[in-house]
Amino acid sequence: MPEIIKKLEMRKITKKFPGVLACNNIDIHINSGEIVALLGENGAGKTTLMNVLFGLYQPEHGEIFLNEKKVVINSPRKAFAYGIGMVHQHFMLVPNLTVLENIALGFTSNKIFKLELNKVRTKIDEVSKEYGLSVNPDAYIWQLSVGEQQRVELIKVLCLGANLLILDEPTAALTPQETDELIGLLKIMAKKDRSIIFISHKLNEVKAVSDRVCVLRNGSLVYEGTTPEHSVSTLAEKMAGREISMPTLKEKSHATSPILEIKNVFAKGSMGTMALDGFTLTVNRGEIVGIAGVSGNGQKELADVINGINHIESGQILLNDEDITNKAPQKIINKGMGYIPEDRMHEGTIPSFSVKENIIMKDYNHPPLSKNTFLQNKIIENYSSELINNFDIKCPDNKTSCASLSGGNVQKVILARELSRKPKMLIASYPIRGLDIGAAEYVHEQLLEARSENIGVLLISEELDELLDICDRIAVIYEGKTLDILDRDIDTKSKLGLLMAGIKDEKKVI
Amino acid sequence: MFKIKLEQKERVSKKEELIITLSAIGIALILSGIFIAFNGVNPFVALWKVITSALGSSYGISETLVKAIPLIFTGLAVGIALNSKLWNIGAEGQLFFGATFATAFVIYGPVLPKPLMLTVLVILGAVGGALWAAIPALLKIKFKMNEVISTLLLNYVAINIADYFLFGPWKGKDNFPYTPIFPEEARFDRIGFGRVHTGLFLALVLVVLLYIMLYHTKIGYKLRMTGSSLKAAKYAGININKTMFMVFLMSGALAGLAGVSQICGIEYKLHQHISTGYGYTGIIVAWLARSNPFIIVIFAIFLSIILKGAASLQIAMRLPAAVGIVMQALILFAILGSELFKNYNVKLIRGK
Repeated sequence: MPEIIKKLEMRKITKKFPGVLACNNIDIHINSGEIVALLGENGAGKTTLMNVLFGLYQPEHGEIFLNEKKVVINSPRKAFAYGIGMVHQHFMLVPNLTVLENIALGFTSNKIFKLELNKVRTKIDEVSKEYGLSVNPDAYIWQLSVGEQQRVELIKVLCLGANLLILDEPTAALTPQETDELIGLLKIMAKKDRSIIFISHKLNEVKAVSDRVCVLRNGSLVYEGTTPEHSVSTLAEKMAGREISMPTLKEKSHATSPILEIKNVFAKGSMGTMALDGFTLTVNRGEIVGIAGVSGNGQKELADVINGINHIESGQILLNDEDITNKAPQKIINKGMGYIPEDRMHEGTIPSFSVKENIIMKDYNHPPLSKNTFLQNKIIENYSSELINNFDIKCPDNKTSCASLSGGNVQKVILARELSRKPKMLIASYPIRGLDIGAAEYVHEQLLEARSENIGVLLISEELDELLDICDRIAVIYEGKTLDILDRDIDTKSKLGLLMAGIKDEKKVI
Repeated sequence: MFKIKLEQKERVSKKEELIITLSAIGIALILSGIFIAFNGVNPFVALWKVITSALGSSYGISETLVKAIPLIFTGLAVGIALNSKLWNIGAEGQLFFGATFATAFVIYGPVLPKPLMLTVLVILGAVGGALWAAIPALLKIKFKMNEVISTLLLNYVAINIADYFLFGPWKGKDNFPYTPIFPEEARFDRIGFGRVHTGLFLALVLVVLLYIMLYHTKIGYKLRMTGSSLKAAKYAGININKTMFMVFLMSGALAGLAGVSQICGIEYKLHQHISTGYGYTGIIVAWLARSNPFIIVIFAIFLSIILKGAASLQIAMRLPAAVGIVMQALILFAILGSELFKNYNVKLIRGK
């Protein structure tokens, strides 16, 4: 077992990548029993700094001191030996192995041919008892929900004896309930003298869980202080380096004419079960309708069938009074549907394509961007430069590949493409997931702008704050059905929370 | 003790990429040299022999070009499919099927005036190759069958079909498995440089056309989009199955043209050895060239230098004929291995 970490310091850490100074002379420290939140916009250097601590990167300058002794961490194995464990943003689990087998993978053993599964099993039992983390060691990873997988990751690092845990955006894919559970758990861990470094964009979580905050901007530490002296908005300001106010809906929508009508739709999901089970909803022109729900209740399928990417079994979908049920995606696009997909990196854009090529993705097929068979390069150049300008996409030029842009800028590329086409209807799936607060602010401004241009907007999200900020109405989806539709005025967060869990107010049965 | 440590690279510059590729080829040549040394031949002498035999005389250069022509066609065939992330391992079979198709017209059809005759043969060769490629395309689209397996296995079928005709209805008068010699109307003209024929111009025109198609037309954009991300292509409203089918047809047609250029440009008849694995070497050409049509020409010539050079090593230095294949394989391995250096910074660090 590694020794207890009383104090860990990273001194003057500098890490360069070709053309980028990812970390610039950063000093941070953490004491035992402390939860430190590492804040910063995308690309601020948080993950790089933590990868240095975890031994994945070697810094150009700087040293790490553990309990006042200098240590060199040049591999994750070394990090574990010092009691440092990391849970990555994207889980590092093997889907077709069991929980037990996954955790056993991290153990070193003297026996070459035998996995000491029983020893590992006892260890898992110990850890899950200590923290009240329930998990079935014999379940396969692919059978587990995202929240449960996260739990497995935590148990894994705890089993390996980590005293200091690094959590890189641990709540990015969790439901509100799972997030609350995680926050509770982290506090228990801190009470047991473990130290936790928590990387997140979500400031209310940072506020709820951390003792101290360190703010990074462009690779430098710009602020360090205790959490209680800040509100969410002052934290946002420190992060962005300017004042941030998330836009909210001011005036009520007076739109009444429907633009998108979804009538009693049944559709199968990837597992072959009915993911949409008689779903009905109408969106009006100039209105933002939110779809609240725990992910996996049919949201992905809903977005896909509206856009013609998957077929429905029965039911009807009308766009602007025209039947678009099971039409080819190209037809639906041409009729004025815009779509900001959940997977912005591989569905909404193509990483290896340039910004220019990504911008023309839906319009390359007709004049002026192409004439007969040929793409009109001059016009495409001008068009994309114009959009880069209008939507403030930060990139060296329109030939830069999307892979090298930050998440916020990739989302701007998608917004630019979808909104410049002047759609009648826009589907936005988790449009601010994983974005920093400045980029999220921008996305919401654009959605509100679309609303004021009389576009109907369907906003799929799990974040209640996002929905309450900008939606006229919020529909709750549960097991493929519309459980309830709430007007913005009378909504309360708690009511939505209950509905998302499938519990409907008895008195208000429709 | 030293330990090797990999760090993911953020991005790699064009210059760096070129240096890495050239070093990989260099390392492959050194390894080939070691292999040659084990066979009791001075590797420097052997390398010099390869270069001089392929490039040292106008005869050598012309023979190198003769081998490069079919490699450009098959390289383009595999390359265009690779642009949509489809692996056409079946260029060899499509080459034979295209050649058989064109030969059928020479045997059963009328003898037309030369320009017309050649146009018909070129079209038939392309159609034959495309038809043969349509089989794995349909299998993939309808039954999700992996194209690597189906295209590879269909090679043997296509070669056997050609054999059926060669040993059956088209057997020569002396009972050997080759067709009667083609009439003058069915032969590509020589351009006055060894055996180099006008098929070379056809190949080069196609290089330019394919480049324009890939980067300046709607079809090329669709095709690259399908290759880069299926999900995104679907999202953008592209009919994926249609695009894949089209790519297979184009790929097969190009491979079929390799067959036509062999029978009408070099052999003037159909027989069992019109290709010495050009369909397979085309895979290496396309891969090395990253499917870029212009670079395919360069690597087609490069590999034909090795093929030509290895053939003379066999004669002049009594090295096994396999030397050429070993060199090809080493180059491919070195290039594949060099991918690591493009994606990662490799560092040696001291540690226990």
